[in-house]
Amino acid sequence: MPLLSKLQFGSALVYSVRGESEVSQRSKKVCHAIKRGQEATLRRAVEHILERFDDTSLHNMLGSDVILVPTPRSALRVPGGLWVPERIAELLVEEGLGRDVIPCLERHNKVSKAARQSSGERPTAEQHFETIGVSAQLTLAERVTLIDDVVTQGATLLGAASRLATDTGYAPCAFALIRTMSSGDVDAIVSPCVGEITLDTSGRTWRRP
Amino acid sequence: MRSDAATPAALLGGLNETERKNAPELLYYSGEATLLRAEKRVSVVGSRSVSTEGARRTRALVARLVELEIVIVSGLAKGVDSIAHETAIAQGGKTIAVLGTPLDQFYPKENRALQERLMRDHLVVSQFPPGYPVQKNSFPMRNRTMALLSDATIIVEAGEKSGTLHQGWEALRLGRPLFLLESVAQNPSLTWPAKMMDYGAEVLTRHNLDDLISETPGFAHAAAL
Repeated sequence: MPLLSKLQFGSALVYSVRGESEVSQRSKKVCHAIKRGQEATLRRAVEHILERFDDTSLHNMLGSDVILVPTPRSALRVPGGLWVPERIAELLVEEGLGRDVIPCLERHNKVSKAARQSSGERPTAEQHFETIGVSAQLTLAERVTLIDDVVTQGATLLGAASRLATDTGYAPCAFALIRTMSSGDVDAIVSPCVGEITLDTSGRTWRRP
Repeated sequence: MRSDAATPAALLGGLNETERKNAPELLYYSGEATLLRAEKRVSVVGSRSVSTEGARRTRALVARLVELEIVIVSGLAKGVDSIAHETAIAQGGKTIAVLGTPLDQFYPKENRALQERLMRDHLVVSQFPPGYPVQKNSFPMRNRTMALLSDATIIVEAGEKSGTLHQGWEALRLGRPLFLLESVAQNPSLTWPAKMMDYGAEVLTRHNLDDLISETPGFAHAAAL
């Protein structure tokens, strides 16, 4: 099976799925605004990345030399329809955190939405790998980073990265604007991090942090 | 009846590029404009010639949505739309009508009293200026605007050529949740539900209703970040 066993990822924000503190509740609203593609929230989030860029390890996956590849949605995309990862990638390029946006990955069969499934029933990285194709050529680049809006366990990113690696030979990193925290409260919504998504022997993905 | 006009961006707190594409330049409205910034607004839409069972499902669905403090959006047409507005009012909820005619016209005529009540106590919106002649494409345009004004859309009943499908596709284009009642999604005589589900529509049942509505992204102030 040509799946990558691990993938380095970064993210800028965090939201609490079940937290009840004021910050946690606000983090949920921010996540909702991101999923809706609310322009002001996306722009503000990218500004936060820029402000903290030199103090974080996000330069591992973002920078003026990096080609950004938006990650496909779980369903097919209506022509001209909202594609939040693409918009995030465009805003990152506007701020000099990417060289260009190449939307070269495409979903050709839908998978169920991870957010609607319990942890053990979510689509696996392999299912993502099998339902995503490379639809355009990737410009010659030293570094390639997949861009997503939200990362939960990382199955979408690992499956998409594996497809990209298999079909193009590039070994991408990944960046998701916001990551979930399944239990407890968050102290701050802006919380840049760099970590790893790994694949275990049962085919399940794990994200740290 | 007093009416005002404003841009969709002003009323909704900003639009992204995808939302701007089919958004009308101006929205004319009469009633409580603040309902457009309610926590969550959900469209309940479907056939004008609704079945008895469809009418019952519409009432039950809207009653539960009102309990969940959702503002009900619909198109003030016969059938599902009228039942949705009337049930919202009867349950003590709030409702928004999005018209395919200007605010100074009443279509269908028998809904005049309902429209006047909504203008007084709830909200009625139209993208067509007073006196504007109703045209063939007015209702599909209205359906797309209704998708824009709603955080999610629920289709109760719709045939293969129903105008409701314009709203369904627009909701999917906007990246907003589109829910199909189980009875629609599993109707073997319909081809459109399977197509829409490939593009992200989901099946709504009495068991997952609360969860799906709770997970629907609603109005959020950018200032939260």
